[in-house]
Amino acid sequence: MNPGFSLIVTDTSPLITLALAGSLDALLRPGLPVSIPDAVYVEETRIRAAAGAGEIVEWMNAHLDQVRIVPTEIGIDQQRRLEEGRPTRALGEQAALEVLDRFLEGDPAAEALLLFEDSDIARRQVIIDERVSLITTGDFLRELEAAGLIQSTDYILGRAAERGRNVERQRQVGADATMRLRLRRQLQEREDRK
Amino acid sequence: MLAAYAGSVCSDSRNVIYMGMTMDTPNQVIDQRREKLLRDYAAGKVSWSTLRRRGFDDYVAVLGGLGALGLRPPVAPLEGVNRAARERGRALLRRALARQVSS
Repeated sequence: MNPGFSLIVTDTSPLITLALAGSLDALLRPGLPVSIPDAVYVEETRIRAAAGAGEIVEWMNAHLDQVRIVPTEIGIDQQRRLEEGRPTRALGEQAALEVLDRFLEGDPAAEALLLFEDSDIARRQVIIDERVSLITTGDFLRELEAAGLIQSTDYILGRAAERGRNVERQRQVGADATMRLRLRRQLQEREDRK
Repeated sequence: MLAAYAGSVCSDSRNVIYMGMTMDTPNQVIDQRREKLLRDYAAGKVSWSTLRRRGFDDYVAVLGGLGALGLRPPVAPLEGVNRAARERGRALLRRALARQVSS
């Protein structure tokens, strides 16, 4: 691994996509250290989708030599917001920029590769420092595909969507069960009032 | 999507429970809006940030919605304000992968 490089994950979506596709190891194929800002990690693992979140935790623990969670001031703010029930949207990207600043300040020769979600990259002027390059989930997978390291980009994205559909179905079943329970209670209350 | 909910049990924001409704319930109207957003997202017309602002709690819900519609997450065309930085990123990644393959 080259210590002067880091792949910094700016959002939950690339991790969730790869987790649901069963392809998190794709992130390790370039041999670059992977930095996940604390705010991104918390955002992705606190959500209800235990399947994706659990896989991410497992994967990180299996690769602690290559993947690390980076603490940030934004992460501390996120924690406060969560405790106070305030919104925490988009803090992951801010935390990633904080990680980036520290990384570049700490080593003048350092270079970083920021991993973004595809639809967000097109509309935003991000950095730009010559030492910083950008990559999207789609670009990342396409390069792996070109190098013959994955079957195909479409296959992985399709698999993620398919698995996401199953997770959502399970959520729906859970929500339906809750709704039926409420309905039963509502009917019971009406009976009791008679 | 809508058909999947027809005749099922669902409730609105006032906690009124509907059963076996044949007309659109408030939740179904929301589902139609969500479906339109997801289709626009898959077509590259709206971003993930927009979906978040419009009520998608997390990306699993986005993937789940896309999967239910038989769609995939979008891959951004290599254009726009960040094109140069993205080209640099892809070149850097290519070099890193080549190093890994050859070592």
